[in-house]
Amino acid sequence: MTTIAELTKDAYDTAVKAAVDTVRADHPDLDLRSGTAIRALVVEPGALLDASQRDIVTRLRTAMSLRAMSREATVPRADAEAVLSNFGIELGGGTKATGFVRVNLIGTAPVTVRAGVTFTTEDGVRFIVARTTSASVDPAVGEEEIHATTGGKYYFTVPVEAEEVGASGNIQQGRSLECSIIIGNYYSSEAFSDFTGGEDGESVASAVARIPAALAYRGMTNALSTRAQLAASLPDPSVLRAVSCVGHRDRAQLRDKHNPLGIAVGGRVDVYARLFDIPGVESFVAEGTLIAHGTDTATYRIVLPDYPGFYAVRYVGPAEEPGRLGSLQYTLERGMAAGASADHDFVNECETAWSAYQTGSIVVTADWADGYGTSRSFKVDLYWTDGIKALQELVDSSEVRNVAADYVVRTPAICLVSMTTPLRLKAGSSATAADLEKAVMDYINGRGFTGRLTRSELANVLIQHGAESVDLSDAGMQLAGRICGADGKWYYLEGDALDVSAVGPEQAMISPGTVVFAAEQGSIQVSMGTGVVGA
Amino acid sequence: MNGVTRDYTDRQVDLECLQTIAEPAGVTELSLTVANGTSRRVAGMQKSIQRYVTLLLTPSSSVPFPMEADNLLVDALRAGTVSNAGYLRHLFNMANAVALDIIRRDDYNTQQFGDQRDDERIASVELDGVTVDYETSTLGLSLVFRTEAGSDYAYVLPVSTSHGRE
Repeated sequence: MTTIAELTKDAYDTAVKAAVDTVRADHPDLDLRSGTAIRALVVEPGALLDASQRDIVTRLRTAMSLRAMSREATVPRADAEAVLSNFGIELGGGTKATGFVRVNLIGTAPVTVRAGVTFTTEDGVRFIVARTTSASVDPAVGEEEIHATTGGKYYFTVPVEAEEVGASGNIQQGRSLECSIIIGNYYSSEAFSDFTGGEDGESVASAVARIPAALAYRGMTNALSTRAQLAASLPDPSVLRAVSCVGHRDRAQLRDKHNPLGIAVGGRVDVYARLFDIPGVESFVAEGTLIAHGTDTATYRIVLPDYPGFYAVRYVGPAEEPGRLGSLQYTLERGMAAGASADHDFVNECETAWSAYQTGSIVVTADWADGYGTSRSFKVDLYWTDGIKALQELVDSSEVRNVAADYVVRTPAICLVSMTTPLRLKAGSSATAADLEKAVMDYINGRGFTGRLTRSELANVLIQHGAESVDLSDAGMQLAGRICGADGKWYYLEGDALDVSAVGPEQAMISPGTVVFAAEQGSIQVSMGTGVVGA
Repeated sequence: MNGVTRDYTDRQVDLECLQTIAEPAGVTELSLTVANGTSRRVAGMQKSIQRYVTLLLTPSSSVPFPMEADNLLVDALRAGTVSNAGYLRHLFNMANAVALDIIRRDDYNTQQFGDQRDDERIASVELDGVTVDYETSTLGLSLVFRTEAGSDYAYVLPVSTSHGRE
């Protein structure tokens, strides 16, 4: 309830004017100027009530309007939390700063500071003594020691916690504090060391920005809602860079064609979640088992450890040669986890590709100069970013699972891009080759499921970052990419555009909805020369 | 109060809340009592004086949004802090200025409040004298009103200095 004291003069004056106009509209013969009896008896009490009601309405509007909440720093946090709870959103709470107060004394008499005593900075940030603290020169167990300094001065420390959450409590060492009580021999107090741990709560604007995701979270019915649901499950939603839902009538959706006619019938969804910018690489040493050998060669099988949703093998080499240039020739054989077929209607190993249900082994054949044994250690680099299994568990959970469709979460097929280009810088540009290479990498790695990457768009990126011209002749920018299909084979693309719309057979599961472009360190190379043909 | 017109044709009216003066033809001394009887309308200079008196005797502390300058006249009288006539005149001048500011602000706002004739528009008010009735703890402030039309009106305003019923 609004009290008169809470009303502003502007609100009151507005209400008075409205009341005067209303009364005078019907009774122009009444004098309603200040000091008149009618004004005192009718207009002013009515205006006070009206202003009070208007204030309540304004508060209600503000308390119900998310837009107003985003703008108004004065909206009570409880109001914001109440409205946001309608969308299943909670405001991040923030934390209180903690630290120790140094209490300076001019004597050594034992002192006690009880819990609840406050220390306040000159600008009003209050800290509360966390626990009753006794101090003496010869402290007993549980007591603080009164330390001597110079000039007959002494001090002891008291643990405190900020009264309010927020970073404002993170005061620096030496900050003067005023004590709320009289302490024997006290002459000053200050922060003993930097206070830490104070974090501001989430802003209302930030929480409001999460509402679309929260609304979409209520059902995995389309790509947007699926993305929202996945994002909401992650501790840091921003790691979910892009999502693609491959369902009915998509070339790469194989699971909905499991019928005698082999036609797509729907009801199956593959969710490709990009959880990385630069593809993550996991390196490990694994044991290979001899499976065949000839006179000069031997073949080993390396059963891959459990890296749910790994994309492809980046490198295989002898463990004893970690610095070896280039991978050994290998074949990736995908497998299927036990029970996967029944859970998600996989009929072959390819269909488990990049999912949590995928297993794998690598078959390596080489001529071993040092001979061969029944087993051998290999260093393996896998393209893998953690998170697919957790997302699969989410979509499989009874609370979230779409009862009308079968969802499988997969790592995207990654078209690993390499680009080399000569270019000429704009006059006066301070961009370095590394700057331009990073710009191109950021561009490629920041994209979602576009299905196509062209030389001209990369040239445009370079020009935006300082290049005057980029050579797009046959001798100029070279753009290439390679994709490891679900069938374990690598597919290569090059030319003006890397177009993934028709790469490989269906079993490779390569389509614009399954592939993202990515560039690794060193895969983008810019050389600055002269006499370059303009873009 | 004397010399006022009783022709209220086409004038804006107010409710009467000061004691009725049956024949405003000369100076009449009235005892301070609570108004009784049927309510009546007032207009013209009677209304203006009533309005002025209301504002003059309204302490700043009793209204939610007072003027910037404080009106301490009544508070000081009731608190017994008015030690001499000079200080009383000072308090009156302050309260008078506040009251006239408010009156003029609305008088010239004809768009909202309508027109007002010059013969009921207060131009100035002066404190002509003070009498003290110790039996009733009442001050009699002799006021002289001058209208924009140039007429002067004398009015004796009784002000209770007690803490009793207001």
